[in-house]
Amino acid sequence: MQELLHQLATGVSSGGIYASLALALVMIYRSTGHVNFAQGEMAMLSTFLAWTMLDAGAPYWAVFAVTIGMSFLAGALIERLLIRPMGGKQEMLMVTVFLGLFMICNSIAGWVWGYDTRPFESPFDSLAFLQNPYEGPHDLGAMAVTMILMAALFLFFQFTRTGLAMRASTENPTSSRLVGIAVGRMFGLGWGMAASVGAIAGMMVAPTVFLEPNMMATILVYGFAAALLGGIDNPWGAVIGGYIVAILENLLGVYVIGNEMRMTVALVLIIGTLVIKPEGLFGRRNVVRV
Amino acid sequence: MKTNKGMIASAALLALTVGIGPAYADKKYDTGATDTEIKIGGSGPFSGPASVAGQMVKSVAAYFAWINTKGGINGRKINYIAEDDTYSSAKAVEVTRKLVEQEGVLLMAGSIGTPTQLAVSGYLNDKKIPQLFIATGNSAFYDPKVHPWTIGNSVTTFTEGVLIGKHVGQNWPGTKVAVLFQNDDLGKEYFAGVKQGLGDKAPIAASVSYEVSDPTVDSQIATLQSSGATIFISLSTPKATSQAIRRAYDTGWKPKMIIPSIVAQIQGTLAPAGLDKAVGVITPTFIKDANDPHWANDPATIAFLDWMKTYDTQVTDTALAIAGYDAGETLAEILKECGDELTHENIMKHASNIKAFHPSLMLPGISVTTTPTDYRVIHQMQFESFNGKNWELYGAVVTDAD
Repeated sequence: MQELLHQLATGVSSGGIYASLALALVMIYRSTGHVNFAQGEMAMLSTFLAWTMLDAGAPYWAVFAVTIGMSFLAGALIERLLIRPMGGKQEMLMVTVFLGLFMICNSIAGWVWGYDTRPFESPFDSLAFLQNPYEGPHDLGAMAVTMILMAALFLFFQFTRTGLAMRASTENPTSSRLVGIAVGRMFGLGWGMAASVGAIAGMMVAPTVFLEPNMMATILVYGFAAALLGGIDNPWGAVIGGYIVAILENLLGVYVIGNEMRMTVALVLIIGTLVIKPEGLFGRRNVVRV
Repeated sequence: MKTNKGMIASAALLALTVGIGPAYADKKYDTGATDTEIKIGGSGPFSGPASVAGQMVKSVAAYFAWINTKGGINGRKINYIAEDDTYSSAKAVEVTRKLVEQEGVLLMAGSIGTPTQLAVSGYLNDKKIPQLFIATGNSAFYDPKVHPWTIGNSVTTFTEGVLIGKHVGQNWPGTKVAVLFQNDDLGKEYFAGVKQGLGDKAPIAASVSYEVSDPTVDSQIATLQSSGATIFISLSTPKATSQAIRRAYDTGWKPKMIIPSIVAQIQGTLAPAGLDKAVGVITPTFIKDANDPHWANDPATIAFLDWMKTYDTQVTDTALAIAGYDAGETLAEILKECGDELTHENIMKHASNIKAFHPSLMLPGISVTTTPTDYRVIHQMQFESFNGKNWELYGAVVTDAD
């Protein structure tokens, strides 16, 4: 019984990790209609940027804010320089660009910072009232950050003018242009925001998995499974998806299929979702009139 | 009479010359050795994700550069040619073939990289070219039956596991043990050793594996914690070890934790977890830690640190510098013993008959020994515990022979 509680608790903390990256994937999908495979690597680069500032002695929350801002600019810049010239039409072309971006980010991090594992500061570790036998203080803090982020994204897409404009640009670029929405600017904004969400995910994940260029590589698979399972156009669906993936992975890994098969759980969930319910558990079904 | 005496003297001189004659003829060389030079090849990653490890090979090169300034070995300069294999097996095969077939090296030595060196050991053994003192504990590099021309320069992973098991059995008999191991050759070999070393002295309450692709080992720690064990042996690579140290501390389990020597880097493994959380962690070792104040007045350590400052300037990781220096020292000793017979066969003969050689940075009481039927160079280790700042040796040297 005690073990089951521990497994559920670790499932929740891993779920938080997956959920935070899943949110970045939702952000980019919602605003551009693409799934960016390099999202995790971009987040990793942002985290290295934050590490450099922290290492130089800057205070945590200032670094947090500056990293989000700089990631936003970098994301928007990537959209303008790399993505927009592609026209965003051919799926295969986009996939290739994303994979290229993945490798470029990974190599840049290795080249600039090296491949050593480094510690990353957590703002929550020193909070004594968060001490408990099941979750580390950082896990609880990171979970709170993920929840706030999720609520913010949900409100942004649902209730703000910009959020609606962004959704419209993805759904129907031509009509959006006709009603006066600057579609190109919306895509840039989407990339920037996704990079910012990724930066937050990176800074929340790094204290647990430690910072190195390959930090996000495997998390991306789980984050992708989480986003798909919850519905890739739905922020709270993605977060719930993250918790389901992690808890399922833990319980199946420990009690049923064995620890060797953990990643298989995520992969089966990805394929299973795509085959059986492509819109995910909480996503909206795409209905097209013909 | 006088003439006779002269003739006897001449005859004696002649006999002497004849006697010395064969000794001169004994100068035997294979490709790569001459009266003035010995060519040695080495490979390791100098670029790419694993490039840190390549510092070991650079240190071997620096060691021989230093030996050359002191006149070389038996009057011959060492020409150590190090190539970048980027930690890719295909690339390692390419550079090794180049070193052997184009550069014409006498032997390969001081390389690093378990998969890359495994990939070339078949080729080198077929060509009967010695592959010596590779920085790896994988047992495949210490088996004269499989690879008669290959000898590593570390304690084997299995032996280290046995020593960890024995240490636990001797010091905490009957205490429940939990084991985490990486689900590959490395983790399984360690675990097999630990099981043999423990015997029936202490029970293994739980053992779980993890995959390198697992983002965290949190779930595994939960399983191990629930077993009620108070000793935790983590047979893992640096990242998972850091995570295990941190998680075992954060959940309040706080077991007595033992980690293998290959991950016992303070900056690389303990610091990410938090040095305060790593206090009390135990690891075995056979080498003097040059950063440990305990050795501050040790002449060999002082000499090493001076050498590192002057000759090994590209290298930042002290542990890898020590590994390179140590491999260089043992190899230099063997080449010295080989004298003027620098053939593949003779080098292997001396490398497989090392009798209690003590490299200067090895712990007191631990030495290198090989026999033609047992290539495992090191059989002893001593344990050390982390005090929040550095490792502290304690207890006696543990040996795998009973």
